[in-house]
Amino acid sequence: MGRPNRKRKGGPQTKEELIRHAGGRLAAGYAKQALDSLRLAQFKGVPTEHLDQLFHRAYLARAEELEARGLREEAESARKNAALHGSAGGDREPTADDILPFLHTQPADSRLATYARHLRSNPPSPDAEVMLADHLVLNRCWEQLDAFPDACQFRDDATVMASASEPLDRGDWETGSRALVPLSPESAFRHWRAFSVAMAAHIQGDVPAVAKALKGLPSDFPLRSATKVLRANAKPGAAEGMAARSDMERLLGVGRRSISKRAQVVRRAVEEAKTAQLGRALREFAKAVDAHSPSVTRLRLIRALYLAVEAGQLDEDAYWNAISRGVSERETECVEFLVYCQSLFKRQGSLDYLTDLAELFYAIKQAFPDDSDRRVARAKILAKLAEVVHSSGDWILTYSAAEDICQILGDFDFESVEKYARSVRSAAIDLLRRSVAEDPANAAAHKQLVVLLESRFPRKNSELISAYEHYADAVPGDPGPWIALAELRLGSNAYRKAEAALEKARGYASHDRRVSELMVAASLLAAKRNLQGGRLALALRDLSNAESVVNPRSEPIVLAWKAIASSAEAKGPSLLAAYERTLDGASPSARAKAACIVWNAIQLIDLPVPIRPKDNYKLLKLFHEAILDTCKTAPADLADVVEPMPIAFNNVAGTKIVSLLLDDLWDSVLRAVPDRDALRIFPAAVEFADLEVLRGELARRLTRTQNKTYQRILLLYSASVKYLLGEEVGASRFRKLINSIPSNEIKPVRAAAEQLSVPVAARFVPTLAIALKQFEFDLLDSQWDLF
Amino acid sequence: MICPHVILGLRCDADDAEIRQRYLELVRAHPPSRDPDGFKLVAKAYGMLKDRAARVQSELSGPVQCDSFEDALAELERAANWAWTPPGLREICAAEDK
Repeated sequence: MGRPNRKRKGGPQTKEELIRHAGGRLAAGYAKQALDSLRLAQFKGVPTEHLDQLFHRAYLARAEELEARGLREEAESARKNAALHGSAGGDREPTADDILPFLHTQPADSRLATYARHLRSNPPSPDAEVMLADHLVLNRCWEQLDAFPDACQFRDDATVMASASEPLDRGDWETGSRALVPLSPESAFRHWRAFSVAMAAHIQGDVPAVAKALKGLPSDFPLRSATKVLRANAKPGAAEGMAARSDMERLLGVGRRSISKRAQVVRRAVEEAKTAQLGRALREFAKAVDAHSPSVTRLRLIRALYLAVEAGQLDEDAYWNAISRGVSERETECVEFLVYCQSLFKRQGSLDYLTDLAELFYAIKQAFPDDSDRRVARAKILAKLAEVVHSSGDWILTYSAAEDICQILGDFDFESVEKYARSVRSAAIDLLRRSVAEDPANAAAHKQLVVLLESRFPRKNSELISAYEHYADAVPGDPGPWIALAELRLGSNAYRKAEAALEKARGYASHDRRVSELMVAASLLAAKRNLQGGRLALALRDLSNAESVVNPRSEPIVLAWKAIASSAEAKGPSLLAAYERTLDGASPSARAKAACIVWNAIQLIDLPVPIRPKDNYKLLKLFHEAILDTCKTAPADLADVVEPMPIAFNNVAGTKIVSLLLDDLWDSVLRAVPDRDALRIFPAAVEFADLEVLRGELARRLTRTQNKTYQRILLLYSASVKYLLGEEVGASRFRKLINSIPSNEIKPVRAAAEQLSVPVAARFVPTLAIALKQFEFDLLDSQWDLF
Repeated sequence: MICPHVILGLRCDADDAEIRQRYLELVRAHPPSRDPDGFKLVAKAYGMLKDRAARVQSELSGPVQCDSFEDALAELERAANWAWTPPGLREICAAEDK
């Protein structure tokens, strides 16, 4: 048995409260607490027959609890007590006097139906209707009103309340209050009307009206906390009270004061650079601004916060720390993406990309629920991402980053990324391909794509041509892709296609030097083909086309081919005579270059131009004289002439006379060529010049130059020559040489090393391999297959 | 304008119909004859959200159109204060349950 004389602190005190409490505890599965409340209610004077049903149910529930714990005897005792209080009372109808306590004994969802049944043969009970009205408004079970008879005041009033609930839920208390005007002063919903009027007055700041509205509100009105706050706010002088305001805002959600207060906190946190406070303030302010979508506002705040970083108000590290704290919930993929990128791409200039990417990503998620509609926005993200990947410079890191970022973005096909083993460039290419496929008008993405394809080794001309064609189609008005296409076409001897591309380019950039040079090249290529095919007239036409756009650099080439073509005419002069006539008056370097080209053409291309052996030798002599003249009078032109020289004379290098001639030539050229041009001819010199002569020249220049970078390049070539001469280079000495080069000077040295031919490089293995590996000369790796 | 959806009191994933409905409600509440500034604000916000193309444009054209962080913060504060609505009955009931 219970202890009725035990003092209770707090909790239900009145009989109704005790009964209500017992019903609630029973419904929640706490049979023992329900029994305690029922006993206390009985002690306070509630007739036992009013509590029989609840006692019966509570004892039965208690019996089950005890049974589950294995206390069989105690469970049996509880069942006996249940039987003492009769059945569940399903067949007992309440009377007019006990309808209210009876309803408390019923399950909550059946109370309205029970009362509706009661009303058929009993008068209405105002107290019961107030209790049911509270139940209706709190639970919004308006459909249960169908059980009430049509001519029923309670039902009519409930209908009015239901119609007013829509504006009330929206926060439009004034409209809701007006909708409740038809309720009579005795209506069961009168307290809800009073509360609505009080809220409307509070919103408008009408304190007397609040106090007046709350006057008739009972102490057990369900919204106790809100009522308490309204009452406190309605007391005289309470409007200035901080406690009332903060209580109200705390209870009723965020208000205007809260927004301004939080904005002030953010400002202060930025001024004082308190990152922990800033992160928290960001979260709370975003929630205050936009309770529906705080994450979006938070992102915008983060982006706006970077303006403070740019203005120097906030340190960048503090900014990142604040972001990490501000988005610690990670409730959106976009935020995860942003924080993730921060850990990878924390370098100068990347923030714009990252926050732009984050916002773009979120925009995609929000604006394009349908995947097919995301194309354009996603294409922008892809282009940006590829730009970041390409510009970051840390290839190994960004490969995995690109892959992970793809995964986060969630709708990429990984196979194409995994296919490229450890090549970040390929990952960026793949991303860009998707970008241009989805947004063909994105010029930046096209440009980036072709740059990456150009830098890839081995280069695939077909895919490069395709990329440029798409670029040219997508971005009209840009001569760049047309020029590039022309170069590629020329490289594959498709000169007509090259000419067509150049015509397009000339339409956009008629004065571009590259266009005129390529037009010359295309015309010459066509001329060669026509000469080979015996179509002399066409060849001459092509040559005159070339002459029309000729510039000083291409002049020797055109002259050389003119000489060849004129010699091919019927009754034309001999090749030598044609050469001498055509190049009479030309500069020594032009004559040398032309002679080189003529020789090359004759040796390598099948042309209908016979050359007698003595003319062949004379031509070589003319070339030799021209080179020597160039060494004396215009050494700056030497590199332009000598660079292609090995191609011309490679086939005849074995001839003794020619070799002697060439040795003499190389000796003069190596001495005469200026330092700035020497690097252009050293690779060829390593291949074809006398190595002892070359070594001597390298040593001479080493003693002469003060330029550290140039010294290191000369040392590199010296080491190469020494190795080729069969002398021990010394891996450690060579490594020391390479290690001594500062990182900011490595580029020209690397460029020089890259120009060494495959046979030379291969003979350096393992020394050069080790040295090159230190600088990650990836192109050399692929080319030479050293590792 | 940083947050047009805040001005209109909408979720970010509101569809065209919801946006239009809310726009019409606000225009009725802030007619140009009575509240010209409020009307302009609502009209501008609606212009940025009225259809998918406009939403994309406003989202992708640039995240922040303010010159300084202080301007951006002040604009957000103004937008939130302007768009603030009192809590509703359901919200108060839910707060009471807690």
